[in-house]
Amino acid sequence: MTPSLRLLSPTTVGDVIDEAQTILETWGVWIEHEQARAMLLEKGAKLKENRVLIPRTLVDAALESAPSEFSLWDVTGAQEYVVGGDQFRFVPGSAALEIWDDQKGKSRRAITRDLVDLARLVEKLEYLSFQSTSLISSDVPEELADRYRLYLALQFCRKPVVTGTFQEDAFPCMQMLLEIVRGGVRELKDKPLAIFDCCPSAPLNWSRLTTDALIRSSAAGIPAELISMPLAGATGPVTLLGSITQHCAESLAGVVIHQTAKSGAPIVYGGSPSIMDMRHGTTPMGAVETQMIDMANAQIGKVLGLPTHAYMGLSDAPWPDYQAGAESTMGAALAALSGINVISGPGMLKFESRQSLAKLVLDNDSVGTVHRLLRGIETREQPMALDLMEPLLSKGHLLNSGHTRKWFREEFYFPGPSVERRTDPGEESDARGAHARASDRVKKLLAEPRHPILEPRMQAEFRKIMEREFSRHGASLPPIKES
Amino acid sequence: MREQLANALLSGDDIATRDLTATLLEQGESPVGILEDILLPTIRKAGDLWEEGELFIPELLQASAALKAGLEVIKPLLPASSESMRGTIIVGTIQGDIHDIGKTLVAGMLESAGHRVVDLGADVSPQSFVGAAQREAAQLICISALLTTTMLNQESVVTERNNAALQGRVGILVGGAPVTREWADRIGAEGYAPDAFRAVQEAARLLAIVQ
Repeated sequence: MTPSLRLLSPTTVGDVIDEAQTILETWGVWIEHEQARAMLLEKGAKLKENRVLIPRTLVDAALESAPSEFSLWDVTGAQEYVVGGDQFRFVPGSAALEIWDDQKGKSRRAITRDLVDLARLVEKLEYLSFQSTSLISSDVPEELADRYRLYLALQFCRKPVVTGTFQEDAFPCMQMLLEIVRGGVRELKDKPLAIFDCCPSAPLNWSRLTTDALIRSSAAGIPAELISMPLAGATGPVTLLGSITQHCAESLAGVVIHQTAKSGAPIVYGGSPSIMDMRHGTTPMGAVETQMIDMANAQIGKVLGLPTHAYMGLSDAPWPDYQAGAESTMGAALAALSGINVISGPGMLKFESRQSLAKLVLDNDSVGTVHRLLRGIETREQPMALDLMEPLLSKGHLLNSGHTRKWFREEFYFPGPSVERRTDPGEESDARGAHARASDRVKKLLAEPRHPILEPRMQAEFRKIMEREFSRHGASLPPIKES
Repeated sequence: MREQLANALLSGDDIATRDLTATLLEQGESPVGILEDILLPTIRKAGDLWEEGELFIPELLQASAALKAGLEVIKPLLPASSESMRGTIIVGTIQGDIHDIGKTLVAGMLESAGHRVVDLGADVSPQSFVGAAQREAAQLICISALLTTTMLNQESVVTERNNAALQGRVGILVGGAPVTREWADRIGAEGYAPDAFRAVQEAARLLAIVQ
């Protein structure tokens, strides 16, 4: 039996979906993208004071055509990852401007070397299924930062990548990079390598940039991920259920745009909602209420028949401390128990603005623990204990029995540097703690020899494309530096 | 065949270890050669693999059990002067205390480190500890205690050892949940270990002093 957790009753889920559809019918959404607006109007939507009112028939048709699951493949095209059902995949949280620098003991703006190190590290962390373009490099022009992240990620990590655009002109370039890896337009459609995040702006707004990415990804066969983010108490109702309903309406509008552009294209019902901290005016991603909203959103997504996503397993702490561990681990466990398919969070700190390599290592451990939890309690042998009584009672223990040796590696999870289990690890270890142990692990992993992931021909094509992009913006492509 | 024996020991296959040891003897291998070139280096490798996190306690203890099975075959054939084990260590839980999982772990870990271990079991009297040390020509006595009440009896072993004029020749190492370095110092025990793993390091330190 796989453990699971659901927060809403079926009746409440039905009420939320029904009310969200009423919102779309009566209030509609603002869509900046003219082509998208025209496309929906042609399909039966109505325009009322600049807002597009979406009828239930359009929503129902979109939900009918959207697939309930899809597959991603890694850079090599050999490893398949199904996104759907109750399968959960953890992804480093994105996208941070800062990185916590363990050597300096403070945060700073991320640079090229940090993006490379992060991708190389994620390649080695076994419980992170996908990579993401988690950092924004400050040593390249801002208008090129989106495609530059993907350019580096694909060269240093084999895992499928969760990414997105900051500029409208970035999509064609990013699509080209993906097609080079896959070997063509058709090949990329057959074996998608990336998920593109598309973020509506609460309340109920679809900007030109995000709508454009949604339409382009549907045409390219690149799965899109809806990142609706009402801020409960500010840009959304303060009641959790109210905010969940608004999230549903914003997301359903995205599904309609996406499926109207390309029926049957893969799309994920996700989000990055949070509550508003009413003391400090911040957006706490680690707050229990934020996580409850995420869990409920995913439950609704499942009922709608869509793959799901959430920003969970992350923290608002400024560095990897107690708060970081508590919020991240609880979030990771709750997300997996909710059966959320794509879980963006590991490594992330400070309201989705700061990444930490040491925290990625610590979170990888937490996710390993969560994997163990979700495997549940399995029936390994019948009888379960009866036959072991004779050796147990005669010897007093089963430490090195065949039974123990057969099962202990499967029954127990052995965590890495996040956990200290020695009774007396020594003064040095006591004083340094999990963060320092994880930092050592980062250094060790990055010191290991690296083999190129892309063929030289692909690397040359990558460089050519990026040089052209940089030149177009009057800049030069910087050399790649790694630790 | 030598490699097969090493693999059998490392994988904790006690029956194969016993049989392969016997076969090597039949083929003319010397008992000392089997011990020094195969069995002891392999059990030390098992210890190294445990330290590196590759092997776990059940596997290490089973490797020790396999070593024992091999030793039983060659021991009668070894000349008295060719004792190649690192040290002989008496292990037991103190009188009045029947908890022995910690002690069993220590015994297994010491065996994995290449020592000859004589496990007296639980509820062992001070006289039995010291008598066994004399009889086995041991260099070290390891005494476990789980309870604060039984811990007090560890001091009696030190007294018994000193009365037998073995101080300086037989070291005493104490451990167990309530035992501390301060307690070890107070009762005159030369060694203290907070867990089975540190007991191996502490035993090596004490053996270097008493030998």
